[in-house]
Amino acid sequence: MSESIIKIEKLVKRYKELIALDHLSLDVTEGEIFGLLGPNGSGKTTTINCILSLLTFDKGSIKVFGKEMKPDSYDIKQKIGVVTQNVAVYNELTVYENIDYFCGLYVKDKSLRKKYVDEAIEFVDLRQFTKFYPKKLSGGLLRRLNIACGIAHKPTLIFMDEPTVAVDPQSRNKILENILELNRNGATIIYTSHYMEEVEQICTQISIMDKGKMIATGTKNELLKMIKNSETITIEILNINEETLSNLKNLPHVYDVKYNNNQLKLYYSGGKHNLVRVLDYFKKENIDIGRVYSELPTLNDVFLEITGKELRD
Amino acid sequence: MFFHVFKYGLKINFRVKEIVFWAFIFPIILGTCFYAAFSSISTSTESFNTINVAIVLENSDSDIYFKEIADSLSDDENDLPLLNPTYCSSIEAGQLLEKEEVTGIITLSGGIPSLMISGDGINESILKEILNKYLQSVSMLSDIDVNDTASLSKVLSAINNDISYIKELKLTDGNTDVFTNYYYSLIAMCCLMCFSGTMGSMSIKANLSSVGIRKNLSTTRKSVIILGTFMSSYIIQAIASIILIIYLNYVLKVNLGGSLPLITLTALVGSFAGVSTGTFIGALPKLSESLKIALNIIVSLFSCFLSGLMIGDIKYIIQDNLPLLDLLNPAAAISNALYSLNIYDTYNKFIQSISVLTIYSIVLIFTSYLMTRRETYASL
Ligand SMILES: Nc1ncnc2c1ncn2[C@@H]1O[C@H](COP(=O)(O)OP(=O)(O)OP(=O)(O)O)[C@@H](O)[C@H]1O
Ligand SMILES: [Mg+2]
Repeated sequence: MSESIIKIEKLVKRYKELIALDHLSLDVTEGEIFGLLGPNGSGKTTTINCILSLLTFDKGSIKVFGKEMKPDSYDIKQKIGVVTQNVAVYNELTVYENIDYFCGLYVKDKSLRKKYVDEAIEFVDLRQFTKFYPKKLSGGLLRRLNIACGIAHKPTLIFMDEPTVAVDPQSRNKILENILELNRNGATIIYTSHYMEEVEQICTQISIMDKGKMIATGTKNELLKMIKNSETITIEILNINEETLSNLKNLPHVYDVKYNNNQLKLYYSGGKHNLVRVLDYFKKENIDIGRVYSELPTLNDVFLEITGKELRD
Repeated sequence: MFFHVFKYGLKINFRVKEIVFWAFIFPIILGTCFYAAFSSISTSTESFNTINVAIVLENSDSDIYFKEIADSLSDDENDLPLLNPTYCSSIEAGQLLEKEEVTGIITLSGGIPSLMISGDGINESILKEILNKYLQSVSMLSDIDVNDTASLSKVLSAINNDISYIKELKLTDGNTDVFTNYYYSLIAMCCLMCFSGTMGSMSIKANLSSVGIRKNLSTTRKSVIILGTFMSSYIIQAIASIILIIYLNYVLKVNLGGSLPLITLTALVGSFAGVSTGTFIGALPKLSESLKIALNIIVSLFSCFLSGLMIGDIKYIIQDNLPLLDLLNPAAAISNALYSLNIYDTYNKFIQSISVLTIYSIVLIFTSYLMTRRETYASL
């Protein structure tokens, strides 16, 4: 049903000695919100710039809409919208003028352009601010302007490079909603972020990058299944002896037990009734416990298990 | 699309404070400073027009030639005679010079005058020049028959003409003419200092600005964007230089010499060269944004420096020693064009300067286009 819109094979990009992209492959199909997740410097922006053929690369191939993108591939360019990581607007132009200017680089017809610009303004909810200059906008509003400039011409393939950096939670939610709406309206979206929560929340397909390498790709559930951990149970407990610890370790599906700062952590791989079982154990042994909670693994755990380090620094 | 890019280019240019300041305000300020400085100099030089000189005669026949020249230069018919001679003995002359009542002493010996001066001002150099001209002519004179009065008077009148030419030159020199060149250089600076050109062409490059990324990805052709941006900078530059000319001519009432339409034409062609230079600097590969802005200032000011914006004599030194540099330097081409409008009746020199500017601009624009057209970068 859905066709491949971007296909990257074994892409290598070097900046002098630094290998920014190391045989990176990815495949984006129509209708996806494709998340590129990786820590700072992992190569997300570089990947996007290579796809957009702004950057030369050393090896590999990139196809966009089944073709190689060239400077005069205007048919492809018409379908692409970009929300750059650094806000790309003119400080000398107002909100309205900025959107009109960039939209006008795609849309010749004046009345159609006006319609598109108005729709973009409504879309990012900047109606009250149309006469403002970018310098007067808060960080979140500025990001929204940046989005409007990138999508006003109604592209069907939209690149969003960390559109929520330095944005307050309210604006962030608005932006995430925007992305979902664009996607519902038929756009395919490439979304980069180093916030795993965002990626988990909106992306239908996720690729995790580290040091220019693609380390895992799949839906959220597929990624979570790749790792051993399936559940972590944390229990507050004042004292615990060695015997209890080794007993806990022998409970079904537990693969590791850690205790420090009065917190007992039990790591599970699989199993359905882990919480009930462990609570039963403490009741039977008559041991007092404090708060108890269970966590499902996150993409951070995926990253941690594959790379040995935390996704977030 | 061209008009869209052009229209917004204009809006942006007029809203960038640096562009407005350097294009419109700075030249006006500098022009006003020049005006203030020069008018105080020219009032103080007014008394220099008539030069007091002591002449020590030998009282022989050979005196007549020089005496005749000296007399004609102190002719009362002139509104402002160049010389005011005092005929006296060498002792008296020495005293006059000591008391600074005369600028110099001319002593005749065997019909050959020699000059003694104690300073090195404009008046002293005028005296020197008069003497040189006289000596040159006298050497011609010795070849012809002294008794032939017709040819004698012919030569005398030739000397006289020559010297009155110096006189005219020097007289006006003392007032405005030498300063007019400064205004020419100022107009050149106004044309060439083109931030909007540099900023405009940087805004098209994806490796220099994030708006450049958007432009590179848009469906508008690169050539259209370059042209629209260029034209918007050109309009700024052209308006700025016309305002400066109007200000100099009508407000400060500086006599620029030459016809106003042709002066304006020069400024329009000069602005073209300025925007091309700015665009070229903006399009250069590798250099950072701030470096390019700095380069823009350095190039335009240095070019104006060589054309005599800061020190008037530099221009003549370059003209004499590095004529090719003077020919190719855009600021010199602009000020030469204006100068030739002022001085010559024919337009050969003017056309030469204007052609140099036009060719210079076209070469730079084309090179900038080649440097900007490339859309893929090794590094962003
Ligand atoms: N122009 C450049 N010259 C040299 N090295 C570069 C250049 N641009 C990026 N790099 C390096 O390439 C690597 C990948 O950078 P990139 O900007 O693609 O990372 P990123 O995943 O987008 O990071 P972030 O989350 O900080 O945006 C980094 O190590 C970076 O330092
Ligand atoms: Mg990035």
